[in-house]
Amino acid sequence: MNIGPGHVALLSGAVFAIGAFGVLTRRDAFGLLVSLAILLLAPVIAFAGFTAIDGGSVGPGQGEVVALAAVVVCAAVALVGAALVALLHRRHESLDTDAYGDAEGEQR
Amino acid sequence: MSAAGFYVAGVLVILSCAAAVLLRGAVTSAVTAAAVAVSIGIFLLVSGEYLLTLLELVLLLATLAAVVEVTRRGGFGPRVQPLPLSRWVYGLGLAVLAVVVLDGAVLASRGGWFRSGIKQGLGSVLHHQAPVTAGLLVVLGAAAVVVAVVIGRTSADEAEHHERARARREREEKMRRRREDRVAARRRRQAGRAGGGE
Repeated sequence: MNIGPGHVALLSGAVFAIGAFGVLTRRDAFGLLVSLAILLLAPVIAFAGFTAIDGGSVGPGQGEVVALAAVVVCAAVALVGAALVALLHRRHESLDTDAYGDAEGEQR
Repeated sequence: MSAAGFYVAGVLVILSCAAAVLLRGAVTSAVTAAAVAVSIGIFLLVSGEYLLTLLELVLLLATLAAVVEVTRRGGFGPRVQPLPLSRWVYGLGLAVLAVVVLDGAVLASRGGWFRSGIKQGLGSVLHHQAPVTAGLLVVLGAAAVVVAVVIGRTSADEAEHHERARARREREEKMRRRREDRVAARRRRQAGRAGGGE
């Protein structure tokens, strides 16, 4: 059985769904970061897979560049997110995102 | 891409992602996040994207190491909360919606949305076709490191404050232990006197 772009898109969609599930269900900031990273890595699978199967979906080789961009963005988000988590942990002594309160700084 | 390689890599990716989302604990999350990075690396390897695999593994594992270092210093482990069951409903709802919208669209289109192109290596594309993009990605990565260090660093006054708080906690603990020892000694003396009187 040959692998087509549809297979890759199905896998990418499933990974995106798992990441979305994690973003909604995880309460701790660290788990939320991991879920966000999974969400961001789903397009990497799609772009790299499309490029591997038939030379690229958005032009010759461009899929690889977009996949690399997604990986860099994912790493940047994780780094800045981890720094924010460390800052919030120092201020609030908690990793529970519900404990961080609203935008006005009021604790729930 | 071989069918066997795709299915093995696909199953590994799905399992590692599910484990990262479902398992609790800071250490477990870090290990499963590393598993996600490695499994996606295996998928890219199966796809024949060798340079992308190398960049992906190096970038993600280095980032994870930095995040774990921050976690280790913060001592987050015991503070990670268990999963509240009420959130499963919303999470499952969104996950099902994502699967229906994304995978449903793929299944409905039957591959009609895909067009062929010419295969080129990532190195060649970055060098000849997307040098500006490559430069921007390097700048973005460097900026992220700088911003993360600026946000997450402990300033001198903050470190001093933490040191004072730690010293105060130690002092209070020592005083509490001394108080408890005094109370225990008094009780022993009273018990001894009561025993001698009889």
